[in-house]
Amino acid sequence: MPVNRRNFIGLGVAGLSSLAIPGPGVASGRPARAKRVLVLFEQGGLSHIDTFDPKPDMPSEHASPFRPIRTRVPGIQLTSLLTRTAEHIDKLAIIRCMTQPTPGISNSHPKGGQYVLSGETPGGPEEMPDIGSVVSLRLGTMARHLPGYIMVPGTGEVTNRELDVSTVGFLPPAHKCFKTRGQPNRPGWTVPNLGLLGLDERRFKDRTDLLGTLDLGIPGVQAADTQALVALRDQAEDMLTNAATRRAFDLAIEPMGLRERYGLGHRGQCYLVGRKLIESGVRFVTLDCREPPAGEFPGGSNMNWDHHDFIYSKGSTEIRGGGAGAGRWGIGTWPMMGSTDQAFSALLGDLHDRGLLAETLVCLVTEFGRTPRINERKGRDHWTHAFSIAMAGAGVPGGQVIGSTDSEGGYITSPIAYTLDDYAATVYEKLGIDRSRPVFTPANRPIMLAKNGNPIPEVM
Amino acid sequence: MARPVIDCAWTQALAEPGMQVPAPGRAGFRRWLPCLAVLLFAAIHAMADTPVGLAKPEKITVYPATVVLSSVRARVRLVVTGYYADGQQRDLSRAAAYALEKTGVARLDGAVLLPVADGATRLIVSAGGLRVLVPIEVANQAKPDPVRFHAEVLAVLTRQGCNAGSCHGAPEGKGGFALSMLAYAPRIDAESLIHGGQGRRVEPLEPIDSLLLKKPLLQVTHVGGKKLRKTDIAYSVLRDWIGEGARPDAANAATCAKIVVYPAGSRVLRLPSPGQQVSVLAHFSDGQVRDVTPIATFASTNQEVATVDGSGLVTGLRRGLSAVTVRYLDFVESVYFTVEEQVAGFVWNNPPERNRIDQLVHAKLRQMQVPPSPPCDDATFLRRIHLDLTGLLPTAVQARAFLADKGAGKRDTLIDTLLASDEFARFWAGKTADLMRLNRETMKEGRAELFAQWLAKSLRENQPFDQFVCAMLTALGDTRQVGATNFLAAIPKNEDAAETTAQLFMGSRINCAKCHNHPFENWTQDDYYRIAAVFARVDRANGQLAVAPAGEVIHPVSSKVMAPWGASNAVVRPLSGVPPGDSRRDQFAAWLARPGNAYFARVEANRLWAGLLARGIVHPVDDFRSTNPPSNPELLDWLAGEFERTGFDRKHLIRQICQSATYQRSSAALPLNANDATLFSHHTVRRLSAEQLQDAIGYATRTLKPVEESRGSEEARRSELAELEGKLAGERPGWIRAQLPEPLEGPNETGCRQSAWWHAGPFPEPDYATATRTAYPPEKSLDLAGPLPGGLRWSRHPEWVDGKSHEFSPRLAGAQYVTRQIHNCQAGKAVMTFGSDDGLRVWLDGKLVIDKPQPRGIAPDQDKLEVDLPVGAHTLLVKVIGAGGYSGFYFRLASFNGQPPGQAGSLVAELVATPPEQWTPAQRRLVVEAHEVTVPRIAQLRLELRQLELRADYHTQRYIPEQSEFLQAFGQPRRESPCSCERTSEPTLDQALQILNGALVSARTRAGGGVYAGLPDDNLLVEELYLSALCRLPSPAERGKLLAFIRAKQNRAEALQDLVWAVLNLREFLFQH
Repeated sequence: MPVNRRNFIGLGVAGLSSLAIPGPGVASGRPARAKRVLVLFEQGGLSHIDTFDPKPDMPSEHASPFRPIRTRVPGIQLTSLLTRTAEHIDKLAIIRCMTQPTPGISNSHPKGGQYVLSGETPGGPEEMPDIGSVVSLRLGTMARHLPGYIMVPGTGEVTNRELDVSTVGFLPPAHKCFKTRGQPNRPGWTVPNLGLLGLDERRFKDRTDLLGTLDLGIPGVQAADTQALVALRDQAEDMLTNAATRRAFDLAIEPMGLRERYGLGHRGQCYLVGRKLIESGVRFVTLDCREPPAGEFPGGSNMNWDHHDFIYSKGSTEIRGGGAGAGRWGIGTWPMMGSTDQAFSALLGDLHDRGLLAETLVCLVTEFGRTPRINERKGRDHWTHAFSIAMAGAGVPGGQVIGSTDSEGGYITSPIAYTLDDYAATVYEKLGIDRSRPVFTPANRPIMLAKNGNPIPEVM
Repeated sequence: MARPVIDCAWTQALAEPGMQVPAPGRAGFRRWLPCLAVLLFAAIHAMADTPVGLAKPEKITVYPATVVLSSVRARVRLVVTGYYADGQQRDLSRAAAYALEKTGVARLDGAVLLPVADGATRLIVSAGGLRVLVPIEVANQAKPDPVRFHAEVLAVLTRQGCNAGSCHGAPEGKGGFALSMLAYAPRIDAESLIHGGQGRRVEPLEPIDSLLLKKPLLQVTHVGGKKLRKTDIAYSVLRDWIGEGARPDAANAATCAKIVVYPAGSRVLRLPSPGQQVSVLAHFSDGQVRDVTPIATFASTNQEVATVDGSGLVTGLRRGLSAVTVRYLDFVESVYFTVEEQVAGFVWNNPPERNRIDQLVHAKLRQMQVPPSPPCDDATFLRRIHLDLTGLLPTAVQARAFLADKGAGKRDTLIDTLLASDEFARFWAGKTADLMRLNRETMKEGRAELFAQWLAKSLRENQPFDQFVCAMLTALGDTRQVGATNFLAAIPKNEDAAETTAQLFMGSRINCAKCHNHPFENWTQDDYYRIAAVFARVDRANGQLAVAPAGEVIHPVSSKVMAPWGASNAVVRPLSGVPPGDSRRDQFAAWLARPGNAYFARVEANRLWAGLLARGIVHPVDDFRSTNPPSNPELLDWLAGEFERTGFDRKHLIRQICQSATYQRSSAALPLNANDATLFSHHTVRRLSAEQLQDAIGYATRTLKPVEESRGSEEARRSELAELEGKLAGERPGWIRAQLPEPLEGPNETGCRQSAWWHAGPFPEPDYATATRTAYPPEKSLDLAGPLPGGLRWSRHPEWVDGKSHEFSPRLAGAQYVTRQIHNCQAGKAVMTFGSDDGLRVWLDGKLVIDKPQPRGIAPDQDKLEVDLPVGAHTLLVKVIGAGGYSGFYFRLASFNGQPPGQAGSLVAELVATPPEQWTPAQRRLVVEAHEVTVPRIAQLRLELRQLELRADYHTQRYIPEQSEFLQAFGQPRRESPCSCERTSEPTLDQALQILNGALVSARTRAGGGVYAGLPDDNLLVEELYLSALCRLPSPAERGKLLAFIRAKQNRAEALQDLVWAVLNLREFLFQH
């Protein structure tokens, strides 16, 4: 049989379960330090000077009201919004010299989001797939009963269709991001297509038994697609009935104390699902979990980090004369940094306690930062010259700050600066993926991975 | 200057009778003796080398037939071909013996001739007992011949893979060293090689220390690994070039004009085969011809069938087809190799042939020794043809009728019935729409529906395909009115329009050539921008597709203005009175659809074939290139020829294909054809498309009513509507008479009405004073129906309401006119205000009442007019003089007798002053609309018809696809690109989850169980279920299992749901076979 793309995919499908051992996608040079990646995508442009890059010497009219706090590592400060996270500073590398050099991306959340997910500036001749999709293609799955690349819950586009920026691009659809949807903190939360719809297991078994006796295929036909379908059906049946699949999403089996440690709200429970999926062996998990619109937080129709208005509000950012920044709550409120600090610190502690952190790369990322100056609507606008992200696990040396910005957080002062391309290159190489080997489009065009980036040496 | 030596060289050699050397023993032999001693031995040796069982050749040829070695570095590889009685041609290059008449002029290295000293001699080539003489001329041996940069250095870098897209040819290069991909930009490469890398890439004083050599030799670290050996010809080329000073080419250096590859076209290798040597000769602009075989790049497209090595030697491995591609600089040529092999157990049973298609398919199958599968049964055919032609399953009633029909021609009849159906037109239009960005985001405000309707109409009426394509490529007009305009209107960039057009209608993916020469094809950057230039004058502003007065495409590297691609002779539009078209697009369309264009008929014929046989003869269907050969060239040629011969009759070609034995074959494979995926020996199984599957689930569960019922209700409503319309038309004159006097006699609430504004302009005039002064036709006579100079017409603008500024477009300096009627049934004082950008002149009933010609910016109420209006109609004429840029006007009827005015745009007020025979078609339409409003049933019928016409419940029939999780899971395209690859058919886990447990399947299963529960007995029930889903009755064994399942379950409702569910999950249901 000639090996063409279709057959190659067929093999991939049949071989899904056998790909637990890193295959030929892995570089011979750099050994894999990460088996799994957990990306915390805090969408909207998180204000760096209010969180990871405190600026005590700013003029008061533009300063963050959240003062710097010390951490256990001498010399490293975070703001008071990261009080709990600070306890895990020994695990964290804070990268303060992130920058986004490409014009046109800075004012676009969809493009910025696509940049974060794909590791490449959108708009090239080929639409770059998500990093998670490439990882799924290159490394396969370690947990056959679960999708290989999952986003929790991935409901950003429910409020804004433009934010549906996850893309499988030119890769086979098998590597598409699987979105759990919904609100994990709600009782009775189920993942669509992964729980039996209105059937009990006994009846489902009756059905599959009947199908087993009736489905003799198509007489005389051995087509690869029909065989692949049966293999996939077996896998799907397994997902639907395998207790491990349910357990991977079942928050009720987690001790209440632990659930409370993460925070019982939306973000906390999403982070906990993230940990559970990592523990279940999912290769690539992305959390995109802003607080959904709810009566609990009036005015919170779009609770991301896009604080153009009234960033220090004690509640909604809705103000007279405001505009682009409406729909959020102030950065210091519970549904914003309050829940984030709690969930992030609980996650780091939990992964560490379970021994998962050693082989899990955790990345808290955002598209860009926010202006050092407060605007006339008491908000902060997009700022691409400097922003911060954080990494932990998988051999990332903790307790370090990488790069620096000026006294207002406006421009990078360190000799080093990194981009989201570098972040993507770091993720690939942490996983041991050989970036010198391209992936190919259906037209056989070679596409290099994170081609404009290099791994961030301080975390490698 | 060297003599040209190439074209049809071997025929020349044969044509000269003196060239054939006398056989040994004849008179004159002695004269040859000195040099033939060795030759004789070699010839005998060569005879022993000839494959066993092969007859002697009838003739032999040597290529090239004459050899000129005009440089110290010249070398020519000889290819010897034997011609046999059975039509075979075999390469005897390695079996042949070679000898030179004279020593000291040239020397031999195997089959390669090398120069020694200036002079002439002849080469004696003998093989298979035959001999050919090849004249040899050697010249210029005293002259140096330095290595050429473009022709040699860059060629070997390509050959070694250095400038491939995955290596230094990537846009960003590799390791700081960037080359242009496949050497498309020699100057940039020269700069990078000679001066880049701190000058360490080349060390002319010590060439072997150059990084250009040390890196690929792995003498120092090279991430790309070992890419060069000292024995490679590339090594000596690079080393010598560096040693000679590493110079770029002189500005006037000769460039390669073409390459000639031998053997040309195609060749058959019958196993066991000695292989085939390929020769590549490059013709340069100075007339020189060089053998570039050792520095050309070779690749085989199907390495399981044939391989090719670096010297151009092709080796056949197993039966099949492979293209061997030769690249030298920007030139790409392919030779198609068919490898034949005896297959044990293969017998040709002369399967029946319905038409020419079968003859051609069989010829190829027989050559490749692949037996065809037997015909499929009626049930399989029925399901296949319904799905293929309409996208829908047949109903159980239709299935029973077809299976019971004993008529011999029933398959042909069914094909004809389905081809004539509305469902065919809609389903196939959807396939086209998939590739045309036909979605509501791209085509807003009803344009998507309009375009989709146009596509379906084209198929329904079987519009000739050339006309269909030309209509889209040359379209002009309002995108909300002319469906075909939306193809181009949806593509805002010229480059995208070029790529889309090439991919859809020329089967060529030229997009690579946007940034660099195409890696697999001879589309160059120049070609790309010439096609883009075709669309340089498309004006897409304001929802219109128009011709821009200017617009060019500039080549990004050479900065040259590109001449548009197209027919060289001007095309005259046949219709008089039609505004002149976009000549660039017209000429391109004329070139494209011209009979014999290899890029047109073949592409669509192949698409139609692929739509029915699941795979193109060229596959993928939009990737025609010499490196992607058709699996059956004769078949594709015939289909294309038949398509052209019948005036591009799509239905005819589809009918021919569907009637063929090839189409009607079983999908069950035979042992000897199971591995065939390209020659159409058995039918290809494929999963139902997303839309087919959703409709099939509806049909199988009987939760979607048969489309014929919708069509029936549509027809009933259509005839009712036609009847009402006809009745109304008869009553119209009376109705109009009844309407017209009303505003004149009966007072309304304000006593004053205004017609809509009518606009004409711009009358372009760059000089402001002239534009102000000139009295254009509207100032002379107001004839709203009549023509105006410059192709202008009066257009009605009911949307231009009072109290707002209205912009004129296009933005051209000159005069604009707007006019309206004010109709008052009582006398009174009217107060009007005006604004304009720039100057303004206003006439009321022909009298100039405002004269403000000075340039100004627009603002509300800049000028005020108070007049006493007698009863009757009054005409307001406004002239706005634009100085360039924004131009617009503002108007408000502030009051009439102190009262706010009535509604603007009253139709009756507008028409009252015009006799009906002078109404424009637009005005007539308005009258009809106003009349029909009086019968509410008409509007209701139209609404219902629109709903029915949209066929929203049938996903294979809808004009605009629904976006749903189910459809997307099964590969529904988003319609964002012209690539057929946007629709995916690969099985995925998501699909398995959807079909096992998705919301759609669950709901339909529950509802479907209920529908089947209504059937009187279980035997009938299982029959109907199988007929609905699979078009066949259950086998006795299946019947037994199904009935037993129902009996065993206590809850019958649940049992039936389970049964329906199981059938939906059968592979026989999910796949078309």
